[in-house]
Amino acid sequence: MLFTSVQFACFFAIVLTGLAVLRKQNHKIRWLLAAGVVFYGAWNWRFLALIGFTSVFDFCLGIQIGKATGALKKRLLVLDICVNLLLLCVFKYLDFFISTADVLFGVHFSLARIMLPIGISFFVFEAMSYCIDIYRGKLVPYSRWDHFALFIFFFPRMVAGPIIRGSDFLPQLRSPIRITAHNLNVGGQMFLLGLTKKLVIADRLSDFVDLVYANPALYSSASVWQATIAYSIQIYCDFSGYSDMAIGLAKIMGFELPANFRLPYIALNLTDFWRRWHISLSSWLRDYLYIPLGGNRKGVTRTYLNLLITMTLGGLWHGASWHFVLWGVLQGLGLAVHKAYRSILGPRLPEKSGWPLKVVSWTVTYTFVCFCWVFFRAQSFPDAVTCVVKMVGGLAGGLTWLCGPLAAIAPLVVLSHLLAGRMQHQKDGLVLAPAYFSHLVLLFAWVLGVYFMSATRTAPFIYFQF
Amino acid sequence: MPYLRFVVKVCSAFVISLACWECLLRLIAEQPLPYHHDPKLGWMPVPLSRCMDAREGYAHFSFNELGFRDDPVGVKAPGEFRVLCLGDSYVEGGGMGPAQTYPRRLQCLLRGRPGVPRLVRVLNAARAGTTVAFSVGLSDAYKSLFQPDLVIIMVRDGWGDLLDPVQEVHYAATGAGFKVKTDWHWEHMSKAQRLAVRMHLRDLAVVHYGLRHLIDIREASQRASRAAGKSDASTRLAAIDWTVAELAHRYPHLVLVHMPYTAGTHDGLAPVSPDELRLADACKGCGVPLVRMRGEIERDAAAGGMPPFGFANTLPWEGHPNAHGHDLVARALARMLTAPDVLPGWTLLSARDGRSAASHAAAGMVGSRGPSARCPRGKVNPTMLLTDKRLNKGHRAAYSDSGRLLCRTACKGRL
Repeated sequence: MLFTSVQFACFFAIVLTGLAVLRKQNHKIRWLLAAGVVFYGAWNWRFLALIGFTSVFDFCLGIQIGKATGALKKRLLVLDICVNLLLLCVFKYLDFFISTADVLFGVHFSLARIMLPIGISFFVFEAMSYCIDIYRGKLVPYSRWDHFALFIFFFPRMVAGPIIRGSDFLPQLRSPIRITAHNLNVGGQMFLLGLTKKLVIADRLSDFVDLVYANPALYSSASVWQATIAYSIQIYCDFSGYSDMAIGLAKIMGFELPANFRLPYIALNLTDFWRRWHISLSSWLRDYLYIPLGGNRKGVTRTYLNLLITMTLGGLWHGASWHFVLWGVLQGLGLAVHKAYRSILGPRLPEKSGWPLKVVSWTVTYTFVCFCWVFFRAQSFPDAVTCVVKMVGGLAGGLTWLCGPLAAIAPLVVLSHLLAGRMQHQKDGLVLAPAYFSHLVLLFAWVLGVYFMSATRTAPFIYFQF
Repeated sequence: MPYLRFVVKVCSAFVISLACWECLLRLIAEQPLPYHHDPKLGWMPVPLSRCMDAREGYAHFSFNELGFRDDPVGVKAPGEFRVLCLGDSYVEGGGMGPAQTYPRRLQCLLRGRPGVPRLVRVLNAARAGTTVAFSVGLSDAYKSLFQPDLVIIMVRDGWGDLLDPVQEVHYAATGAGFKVKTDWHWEHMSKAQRLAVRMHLRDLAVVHYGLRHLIDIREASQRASRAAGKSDASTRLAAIDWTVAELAHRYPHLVLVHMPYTAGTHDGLAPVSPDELRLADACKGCGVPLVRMRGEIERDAAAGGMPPFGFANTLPWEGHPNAHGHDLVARALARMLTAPDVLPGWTLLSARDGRSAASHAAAGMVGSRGPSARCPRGKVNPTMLLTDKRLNKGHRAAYSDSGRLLCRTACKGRL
């Protein structure tokens, strides 16, 4: 069930009705749990058992970790991590390992061709973070399975995040779940914002991006550049649009989910970019991988190595393919270079300088991010190399076909970034209050705009494949 | 009372936002075209109306006194040689100005060429959303309106649409073949629909654009499956034969142009279909000259030409032909009409001005005919192919059924 579908609208209406009608908190929690089961089952009912197993296993193990002490506590945690990673490896990476072994060692095992359960990368990480937080003493194990299961089965963020922490979500279940006019208004507008980003911007750009990246050798350097810039906007609007919709739906039901994006394309350096892009994943990797590896506490060389390992595994998390790994490696190298650069420059950093240096800094950061997106998007490694070579002017010729909508969309995205940068310091951001007539007109105009300007063909959400 | 105030507030806000979008859509997306019912031609653009469409490219449309996207037709001048171009939106020229459409380009290419009538005029009578069944069923109306000396009809694959009853003019299969049925939409409209038309509700951009957007999202695949479901392959192929024979009979001086579909991969044309081959056979059998644009497009693409389909706001090889595509069609037709060695043994002649055969020959305008036993109607089209063999023997040609003088010269004086 896509958020943009009529079926989901009916489904959500039924869920909201149930929440409004039910009186007791536990009944509402079970109602939401049932909704999550139905939502996930609508994608593929066969994997309900898998996600159900994850919820039961981590719930039980969390209790045991909470009770245990000393070495046993650690062994239980290791067991939890191993089982969760094993699930991920079997369902997501098995064929990747087999084909890699085939290339490296010449072993000829046949591919398992296991179907990828949707959202596995997200709920496995969430389940692991629950047990790790219990181990670290940041969270008390929950005694009610239905409460914990809702943490796993909470449908707005089940299939494509944001990755939520038990310490952020579970305490909200202690407060009464209520649908209020304020939450309905704010959540509805968040959802509408996500819908706008997805249907009006991302889907309009996807046709052109798909065309050029399907066969980059046919197109000129200008077209490949345009397609890459268009993809950088598409993936941002697609993913942040989904996150906004998830956050908006949760808000309508009275839950707060953490923001997943914070204007990443205004970042002046790669470190800042990763503080703004897919915040839930980057913070997860920081807290559960980078810091346990030692972070920046074990010397300069070890710091760079930790960054490289963290980002490489982050790349692998996105997909079972070497070009995702390469994307991660490039990000890790970029972060390491930036860290070294900061340590050299110190107080003369561009962020503290005048605007010319800031422009240069932004240009370098954005260009590097775009080059990395090539490896993320290309259908194969040779295609990625072709794109990069064309972008640096190494391969002449090809059809120059420019994307007309990009000329209209790019300035809008830039303007929205600049406006939102100013707005984010206000409490509720840019929220329209329907009580005012002018705001009501704007709201109606916004809804009509999403309908009139939406693309005819809807592309699948990019992060569903992860 | 508070509820009433709330309802009035919400409705007013909605209407104001609709009004804002009406203005914005008229600026950036579309100015709807007003339509009316013409008793002879059916659902047509209102004469002398204007509109804008930015779905593909960005183009302003203005329609002449007859409701076609062309300059005013007016009365036919003495000595004027009229070429009438029929077809659908491919010929009407969406996404570009009228000067870039192939009829206008053809007129520019023909005028001033040695041997071409000085007063050659190429008219664009294409109608978006129609099929070649309109050219068959409304032939009398077109001939009386335009008095053409030559008719050029662009056809495409998708012959199943000819049997689609949604079209105002469509075929009905009979035992012997087909018959043309005319089913004016206006006569089937309910009173409410007629009132909506008279009140120009569909002329509002928010209504027109909004409804069409919904149709685009939902009906594209449904329409294809509906049309395909209505005709099987044998019926379709039979419809092709019948159509060509009917066109040859109804338009004594006829040229067909076949425009192939593009492949869905945005990098070229769809493969040759059985329909295309059948059309070529039918034209050969009836002696109707056929310009197959497939060869032209493929040669141009191999030479590094821009894709002939696609606009700034669409993708290459998608949608309607662009200015380059129209230019290719115009050039192909101009070559065919003015250079007999491109299409062996055939060139075009106009003899309406009553000049003698000798003067026609001196002017270098020739036409010739030959027999064909394969045309279903059993008649011979006056503008037909001759083989090189007959040309080389120096044959004098015959006269047309209508008494038009058709003669041919030797190599000198060719167009």
